[in-house]
Amino acid sequence: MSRLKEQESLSPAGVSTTPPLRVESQAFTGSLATLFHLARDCRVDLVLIPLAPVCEAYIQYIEEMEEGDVDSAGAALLALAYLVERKAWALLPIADPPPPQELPELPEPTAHEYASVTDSLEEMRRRREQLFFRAVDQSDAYELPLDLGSLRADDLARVFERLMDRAVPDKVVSLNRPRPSLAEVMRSVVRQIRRLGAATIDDVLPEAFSRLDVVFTFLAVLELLRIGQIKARIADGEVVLRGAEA
Amino acid sequence: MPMVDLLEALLFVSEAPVTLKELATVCGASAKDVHVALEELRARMDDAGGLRLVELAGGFQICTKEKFAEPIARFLKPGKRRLGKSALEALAIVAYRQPMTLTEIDAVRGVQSDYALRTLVEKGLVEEVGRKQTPGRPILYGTTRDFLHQFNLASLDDLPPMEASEEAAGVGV
Repeated sequence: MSRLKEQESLSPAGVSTTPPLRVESQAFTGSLATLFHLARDCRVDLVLIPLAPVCEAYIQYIEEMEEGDVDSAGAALLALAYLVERKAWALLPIADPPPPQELPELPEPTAHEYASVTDSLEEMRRRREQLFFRAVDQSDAYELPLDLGSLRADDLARVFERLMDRAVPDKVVSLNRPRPSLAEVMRSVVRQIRRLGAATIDDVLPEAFSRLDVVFTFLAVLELLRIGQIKARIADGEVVLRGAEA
Repeated sequence: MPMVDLLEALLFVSEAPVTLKELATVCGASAKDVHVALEELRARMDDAGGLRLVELAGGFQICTKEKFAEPIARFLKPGKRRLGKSALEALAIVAYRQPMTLTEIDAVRGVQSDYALRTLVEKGLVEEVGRKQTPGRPILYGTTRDFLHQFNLASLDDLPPMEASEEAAGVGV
């Protein structure tokens, strides 16, 4: 417990000595000044030291003081206030630590289990290396002749000539005029055929078309026939186009 | 025309394994008939000639017989495409446990496998097959069709069993 004793001094403010207050408890025995220094340096656990008797002893000291040193009493009060505050913080409940983040379970290292199959794979690969396969670029190989059915080149030529006669001459606006690519015209022709089901070449041309439009459209139709995306037949002198799947 | 001869011609021009379904479509026959004809072709090629019929990577293909490997290698002078021990180990793990993430491969091997995995991807033996639905959505890896081709496997079912792999090593081709 605590009792007043006249032994040591304390100067928490750095200017005044403390009154002779002595602290005695199971966890600490010594002067208030020593307790203050140890608490400041975190070398003593204040939770284990009851401070109420120290405070009572201090009050008793104040009451008994006749013409005491007010500066020393103030220094002791400062030290006590510091200790009380530190203890109050130490007594606050500690928030539970966040639960550890659950990591996905990973298998234990078991590479040794694969040693035999690794050897097997190596042996299989070694034996496979003794086999040789054909590896030839056949991009310039023989191409199947186009099957145009009843449609003849004359029919296409006749339609082409007729459309060229109807075409409006191109106005030269700019020499750098952007032209549609053949792929774009092919996509447009396929879209038109899909929309109409069956279409003549007139149908896949724009409403007012130029000679250039006729040339591009014919090239697109011929390419689509070549790669088998559309089929053509002749009906009443008109070339009728359909999708290959129709 | 005899289907066996047609199959021989089709497989001769093919650069990659041709599936039974593809062969049946071209021949205009049932898969069963094509299979019978393929067996006949296999027996005929085994009896004579320098070529043989193999089933690998989910299809059929014609290749040279093993006994001619050395003179062919002298003629073609193929570049060696060796796989390192670590890459082969990572490949075996992916082959048996696919699809799996890099972290899982690391865990099984007990060491980092990013270099080995990158090598396998560059060689076309392993590829991305999706994303795992876990935080971070890591990439899932699996073996490719080229893996089956390179290791003379018709399908993943033909991988040597883990227990009896020593015996299976001799079966291969």
